[in-house]
Amino acid sequence: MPYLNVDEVESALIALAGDFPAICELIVLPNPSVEERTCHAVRIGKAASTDRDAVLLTGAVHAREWGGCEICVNVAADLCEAYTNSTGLGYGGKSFTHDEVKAIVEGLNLIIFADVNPDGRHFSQTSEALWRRNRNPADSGGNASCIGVDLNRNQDFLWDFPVHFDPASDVNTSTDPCSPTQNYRGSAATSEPEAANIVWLLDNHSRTRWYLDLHSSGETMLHSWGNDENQSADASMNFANPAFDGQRGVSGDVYGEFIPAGDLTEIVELANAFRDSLQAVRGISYTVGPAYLLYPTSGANDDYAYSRHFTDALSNKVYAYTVEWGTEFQPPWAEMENVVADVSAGILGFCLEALCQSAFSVDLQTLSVNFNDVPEAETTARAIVFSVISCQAATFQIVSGPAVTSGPGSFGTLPSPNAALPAAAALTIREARLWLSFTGTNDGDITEGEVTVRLAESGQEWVIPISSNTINRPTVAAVMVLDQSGSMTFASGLPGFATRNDVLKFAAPVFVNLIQEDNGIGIVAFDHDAFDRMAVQTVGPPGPFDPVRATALGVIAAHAPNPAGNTAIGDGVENAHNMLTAAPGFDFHAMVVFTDGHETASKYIADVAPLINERVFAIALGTADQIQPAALTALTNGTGGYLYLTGAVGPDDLFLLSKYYLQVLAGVTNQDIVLDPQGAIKPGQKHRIAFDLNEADIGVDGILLGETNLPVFRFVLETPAGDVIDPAVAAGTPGASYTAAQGVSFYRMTLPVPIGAGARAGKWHAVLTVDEVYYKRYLASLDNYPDLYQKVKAHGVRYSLSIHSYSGIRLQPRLTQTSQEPGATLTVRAVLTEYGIPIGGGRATVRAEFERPDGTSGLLWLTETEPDSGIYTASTGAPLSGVYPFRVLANGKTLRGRNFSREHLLTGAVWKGGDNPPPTSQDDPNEEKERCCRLLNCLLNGSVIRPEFEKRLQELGLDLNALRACIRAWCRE
Amino acid sequence: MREILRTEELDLNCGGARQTPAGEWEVEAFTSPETAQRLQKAGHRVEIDEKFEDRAAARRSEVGRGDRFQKGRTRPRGLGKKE
Repeated sequence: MPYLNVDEVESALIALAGDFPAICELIVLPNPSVEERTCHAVRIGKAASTDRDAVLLTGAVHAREWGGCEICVNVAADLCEAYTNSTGLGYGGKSFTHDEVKAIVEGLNLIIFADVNPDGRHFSQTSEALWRRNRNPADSGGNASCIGVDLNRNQDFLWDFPVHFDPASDVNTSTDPCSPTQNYRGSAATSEPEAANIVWLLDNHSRTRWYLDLHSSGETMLHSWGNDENQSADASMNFANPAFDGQRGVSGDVYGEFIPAGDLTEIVELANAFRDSLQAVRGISYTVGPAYLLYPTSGANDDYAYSRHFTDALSNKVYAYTVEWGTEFQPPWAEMENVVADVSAGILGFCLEALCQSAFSVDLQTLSVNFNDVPEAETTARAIVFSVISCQAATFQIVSGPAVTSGPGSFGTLPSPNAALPAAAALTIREARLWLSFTGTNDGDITEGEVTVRLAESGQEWVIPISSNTINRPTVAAVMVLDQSGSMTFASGLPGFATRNDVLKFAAPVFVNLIQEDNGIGIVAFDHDAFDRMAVQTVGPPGPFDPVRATALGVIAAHAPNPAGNTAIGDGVENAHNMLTAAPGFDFHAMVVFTDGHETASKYIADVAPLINERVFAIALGTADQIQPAALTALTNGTGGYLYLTGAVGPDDLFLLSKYYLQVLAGVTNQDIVLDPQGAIKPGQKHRIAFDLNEADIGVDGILLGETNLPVFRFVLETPAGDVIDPAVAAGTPGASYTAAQGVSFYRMTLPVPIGAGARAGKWHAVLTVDEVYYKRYLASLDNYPDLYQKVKAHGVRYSLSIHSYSGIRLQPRLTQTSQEPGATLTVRAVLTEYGIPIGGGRATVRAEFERPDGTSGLLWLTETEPDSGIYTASTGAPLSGVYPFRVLANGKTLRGRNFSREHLLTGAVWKGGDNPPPTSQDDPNEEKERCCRLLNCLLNGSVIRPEFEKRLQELGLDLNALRACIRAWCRE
Repeated sequence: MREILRTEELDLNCGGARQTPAGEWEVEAFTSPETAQRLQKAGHRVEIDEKFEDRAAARRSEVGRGDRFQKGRTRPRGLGKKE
């Protein structure tokens, strides 16, 4: 971009306003130049001109100082581009972040009048390079060298300098239009239309607080005053006092121009900010000082701008400066580009400091607070968000409400630590948040209200409307997808469970027994084909009398492996998807896949993955090598579910599969696990297991898994007040229930429990004892399992306790891997929230206990990725092939200072070949054979060949059964 | 320097007179050959920029021709690095 001619300056501004209408407004100046050129300025700023303080920038007042226009256009273009494209800005060694660009554009208005003197510029660029003035011939008397007025001596500030200045002052102004000094003052103050345009901008942008007039040269940043030395002692000694006429403009004498000390301090701080920012570009340091340093002046733009508020109480105070850029008026363009970068950086640095000194720029980001679709009894939080551009402290206070104006329920507030922003040393855009809460009432309710917030420092107030609606608690349809391939007949590795299928039948009922009322459940089985075992049906209350649960439990009990069955997980997933698609009326869909081996037949997961739009959870029984779960991992991760692998199962893993089912159930139904310990207990012992509940918890399940179906355990809960909830109390308490089923018993309670004053927040206990009669009966049943008998005799009956909470506090961890080969890095990322608000800033700790495939254990402390983000991460290596189970534990305080804990299980796995692409039908060499087998089976079954024909074939010597056996044998190969 | 500025009608650049590190005062001024000669005769050191016109012509050649922004249909690009 070589130097702009006068037409290009105007076209550039018009183009910017056209391309960036949201932040760039074209201003047509009211006064055409003497030669009838129309002048333009632009206003860069997102807010209205009346809503933000403004910086006025003028360029090329003196015609020969060409680069002023280029600096102005550059600043305008850079701000528009960087703001719109969300980038920062760099000038040599000086960088501005996008947040700083945003702060300038949103916190200020920049009024940029790039070419004050177009006639003079045109004359300088085409005829006389050193022309300084405008091109007004009025006072020239026809002499070409006497044309023009100095537009920096024409303003109404001590304009009549022979009256106001000491005759010995050497004031740099002339009354002679023909003076070779080119500083003719004009026929009257503001006689020139170009000078009047500057006045018009000041008059019509009343929030202008700063003014930078770009001149050349000298590498200086000049501030008020320009007529005499500054003094802050005598306010009466000022430019408007005629008593001092004839005394101004002489150094070292009595007269000094009054400038309030406070103003001077701020003025110099701003000038220094300009200098420092400019210097960072390439090391050039501009001299900062009062304009009088050069020579005394009259009628100058900067002094006029600053003087206005002294003589007109309605005028804003404008800190005004003259920038003398560069070392020559018209440097070669290559150097001018450097100067443009220098001064642009200086101007932006100045703007940031101006913002720091500015009044608050506060935007209410949330014009209304909307609590949409809040489930019944569930508490939700929403923030009132203010964007604050200022260095000053800002304290937002709720001064009225939140109050309900119509509808049921009430709005509440939550402690909001960031509603008070401290003073900041440097300018940033900060957000202040005030949190409101609403607890769902009844389905269909609509509640409206309002809240009034005040910014304490400025007194500014906002009245913000609030609305909410309540819906039923969301329901989920879940399909259990169960493996019945031949490998399910293999030994389980668990004492008391002959086959893997036995382990599945022990664990899977937990899911059926525990899933909450009104959710749906369905079952699909698969080997190399898939079979719909039970279409999705809505479950009733927990317990043995719900026919849907009974049916599902019956299907699981009857689940039998096909010894000749292969593993086509894709078939099972596809059937589950189709089953869910045919189950309308639920808010969410999920499937829970159980398998014990890798895929050996189509359809493969990769074949059907594009179809799947449900959350998929998976539990895999076996080692990483056996399962090879690359496709399963990808499938679950892609849907928001997760995968659990058991690894090699040993005697101590009795409850492992059940825990995985419970964790999946919590995931499917949006519950969190508060506590998940396990142990063993003998007669005469009492285990009191403490757990914390708090005000964010809406409902709680206390779940006890036992190793026997016999009623060995006595299981009660104690409230924080010490009240005991046993099965009988639960049965008689509204919102509470107790259920005992195969291998599991549990309390389910809505909080607060109406016992005493209402049991909710505080320390609860699960209390376990053992019934000696049933204990002995259980021992007697172990005659055929001597090892297990000895174990129970020595240590007691094993149990696993889980406390699940439906809560406003959520721990949502995920495990990611850089690879699935040994050597991968495993990263745990946990998101911790309360009513959706991040729990961070030291309010919680998160750790992950994990085990390596060789049995050694490790501990990771997760660190918060950014302050107050509520996102915690930590990584570890996975050098050994196998499964890495993680137990993620979070502890902390709620917004109201109550303790909470959360747990979550995760597994990772690496194995040799783990990064190989998962199989698909297209690369399966058996696919053709399989299709052929299907065809033959179809042709030879009873629907094609009738019994009569088969009988005739038999008579003719063709034994179809023998043929079928041959084909089956071939198909199995 | 004060005396020169008072008695001679010099067209100064906006930066005015400045003091060199050696303590001398200097000023960049735009004036006639006659004035320059008079100052030299009065004993002041005057350096005349003989190549000013050449430079001015060179700068004029760096001024845009026509209207690169086509009356506002094409916008200018800022020099700052967008990062």
